[in-house]
Amino acid sequence: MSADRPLGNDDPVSGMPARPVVLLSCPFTATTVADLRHAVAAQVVTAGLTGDQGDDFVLAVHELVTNAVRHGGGAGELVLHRDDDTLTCEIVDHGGTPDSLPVRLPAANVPGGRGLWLAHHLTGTLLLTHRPGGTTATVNVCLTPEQPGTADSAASTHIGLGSGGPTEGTQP
Amino acid sequence: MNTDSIWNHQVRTSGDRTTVELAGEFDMNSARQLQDLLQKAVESTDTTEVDLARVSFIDSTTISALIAAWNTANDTGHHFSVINLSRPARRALAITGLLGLLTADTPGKTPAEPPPALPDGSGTGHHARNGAGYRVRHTAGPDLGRP
Repeated sequence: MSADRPLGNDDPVSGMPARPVVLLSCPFTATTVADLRHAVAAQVVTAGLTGDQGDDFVLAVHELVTNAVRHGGGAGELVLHRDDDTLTCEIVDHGGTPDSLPVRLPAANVPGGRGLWLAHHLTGTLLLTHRPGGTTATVNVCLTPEQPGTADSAASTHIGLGSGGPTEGTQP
Repeated sequence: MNTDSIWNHQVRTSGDRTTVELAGEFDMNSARQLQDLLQKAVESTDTTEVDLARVSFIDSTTISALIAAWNTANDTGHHFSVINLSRPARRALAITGLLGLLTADTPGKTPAEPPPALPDGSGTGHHARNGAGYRVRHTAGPDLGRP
């Protein structure tokens, strides 16, 4: 999503685009989920993502961390980095590869199964890479300039995994 | 940080009505305790309201606890709903399509009026959407969407 935008942080010597800047990189377990969420939230705000868009990205990342703890071996690593105007978060776990991942929204009265759906729906981008030793989940968001009055807009274009959002979430 | 310290609750019971006031951040580390708390409330009184006014964060595991309590209430003919939703709570429940379900009363008793007929004329009060495996419940209650 950054390809069409002028690069504002080119290396002044080489003229090449700057390399991604790692904003946060740390391991996590169940006991550090909240601390990690706070750290991600702070970086997201610093990067200029505020309001619902920032909250949505933090919740998406949190859901992937939770998924890694609960289903991906109990621990993992999170790397948050910025590449020009794109903020990317990778959550690496060490669990076994499941046969299928529930990215669809379950029926309303089914208690579980909304984590990955939320991560995808809130960012419009969810990449699940299966490795021999686990799964890497990646979400990103474009750091668009602040536009007053658009705080409720979706983080980015919604792609068609599963379906569109429920009626209540999409009505004006 | 002690993850136990980021949330708290207060339970107030008056007659057959229990109000559970939640405050702080709710995630996988509070989900089990929250579920036990809500189940106990739902099982012990006719009507349970969960006040979310001071909730600053909820996630899918919190939503699971709310849905589990709603199911228990529904199965036992009791009433369960969430009230005074904070902005983060409202947004999470709206996005997951649960705002109507959880803010309306459980159908423990037959509603006074049948749900209005849907535009497609089915009039069933339910419809499936895009084969996505979830349903949105329509009731005759007040407008539960965003103001």
